[in-house]
Amino acid sequence: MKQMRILQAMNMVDDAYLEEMNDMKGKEQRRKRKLITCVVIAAVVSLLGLGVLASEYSVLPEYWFHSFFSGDNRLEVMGKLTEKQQEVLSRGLVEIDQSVTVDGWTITLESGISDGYRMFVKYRIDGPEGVVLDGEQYSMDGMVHYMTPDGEEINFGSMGFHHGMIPDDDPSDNSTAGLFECTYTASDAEGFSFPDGFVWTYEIDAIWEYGLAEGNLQERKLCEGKWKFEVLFDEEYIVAESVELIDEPVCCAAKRMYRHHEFDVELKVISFELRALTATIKFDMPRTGMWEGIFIDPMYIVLKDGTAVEIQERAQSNCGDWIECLVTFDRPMSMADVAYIDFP
Amino acid sequence: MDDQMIVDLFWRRSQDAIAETAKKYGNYCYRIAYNILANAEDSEECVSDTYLKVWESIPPTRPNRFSAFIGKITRHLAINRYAYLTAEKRGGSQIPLALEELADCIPDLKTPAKIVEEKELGDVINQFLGELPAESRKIFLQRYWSMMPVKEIAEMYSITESKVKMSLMRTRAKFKHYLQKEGIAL
Repeated sequence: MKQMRILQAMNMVDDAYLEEMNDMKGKEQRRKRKLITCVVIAAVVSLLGLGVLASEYSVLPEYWFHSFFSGDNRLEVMGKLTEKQQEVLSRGLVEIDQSVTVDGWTITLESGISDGYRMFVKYRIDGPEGVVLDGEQYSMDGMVHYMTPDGEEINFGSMGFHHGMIPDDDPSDNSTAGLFECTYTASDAEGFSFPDGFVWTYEIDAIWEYGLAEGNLQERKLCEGKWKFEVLFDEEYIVAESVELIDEPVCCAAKRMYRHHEFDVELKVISFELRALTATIKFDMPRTGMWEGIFIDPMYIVLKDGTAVEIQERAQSNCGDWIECLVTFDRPMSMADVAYIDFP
Repeated sequence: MDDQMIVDLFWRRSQDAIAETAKKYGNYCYRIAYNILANAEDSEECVSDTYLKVWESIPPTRPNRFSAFIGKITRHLAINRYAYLTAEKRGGSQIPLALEELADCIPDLKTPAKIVEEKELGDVINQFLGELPAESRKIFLQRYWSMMPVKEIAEMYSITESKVKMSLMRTRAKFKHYLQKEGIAL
């Protein structure tokens, strides 16, 4: 099209003319920028600076929740926690104790803990007499649903489902155990809040065993059937305490990814809500383009005893004017232990 | 931060270059892209692509007028994206309107004419712009370079929409006459 040729050729317009054109636009932009002044909270920044020097970096063994739920190592794990953190676990741990048996294969949901945004559920598989469950890994085909107590399906901003085995004391028997870990953020749930309670439904269709034979991974379907569980996580089952740790917005350094590049940027964090097993960080959405990920790293929760607990980002949701991140850490948190957040 | 400092940051491969560019020119690039694409997500992605392109271009380039340099990249990327996405899906874009208006500029030549390359056409456009009064030139460029809607141009220069339309109509007629005089076919 001929007109399109003019439009495209106009990209070769002399820079001086464009600068002349932009002169007036520049004034308008400058005026707007004044209205969007970034608030830097000097007091918070200096507080953070003080804390880092005094911090003792402490990391519990990875997947420590698995050890905790295995029972045998519970005391050892508890010994590494503060008194307040131990209280959180003691208060939050609930017995579920639901079993379903199909063709001699029993799946039992034994216990769990949740703060409304992250949930651990310990399960056990018992095979028929004579079966040896000594595989490297076990998994189950199935569907997980989350419903409100009124029976409405919950829509998610994001959701994660992980599964790991718990150390097996006797690999020669017909029993093995594992731990589900679920993380989730609600999106258009119209006022629904996870800490208000939800129903976790898991419908299992099959049990699989994975083992290594001559260096190759081998899978084996142990049983097919229908194992259905419904667990109500209500007020009693959820460690619902939370605290907002930011009084005013804080500017901090972050990384933004785009294609194969990584760029340093500054973000304005507007909220940091800490809970027992998770936290939600909200920061302003920079009006500078669609990026493939924003990471504030490293970030620590510094406890009153100087311990710095590293924060891991788990999920990010675009909420229009801001971005919401669900983050986790390697131990339960007691609000009473926390001194401040150490942003980069 | 002034433009030369931003360019220096790119030359030093400092990652602050992108942040400072976004701070100073984020809205400017977004507006150019949005006027063409009329879609927030596409425009944001176009702006991100612009930063990436600038990052890959400087060095070796050292633009004297950074605002024009980055604006051109955004516009070029947005037009390419527009072409790719097809006009039907892009409700609200200024491109179909601008193209319709520019049909007035197509010379009606009765003698053999020269079909020029894009570079030559660009030179002709620059010569033509050089002969225009500054106000007409700015309005013309806001409309057909920035793809800014007539209403916004009127607000920007505190004049009526009718005056903007009149100015554009006269400039298009002059441009058509200029192309005819130069014997240029499109």
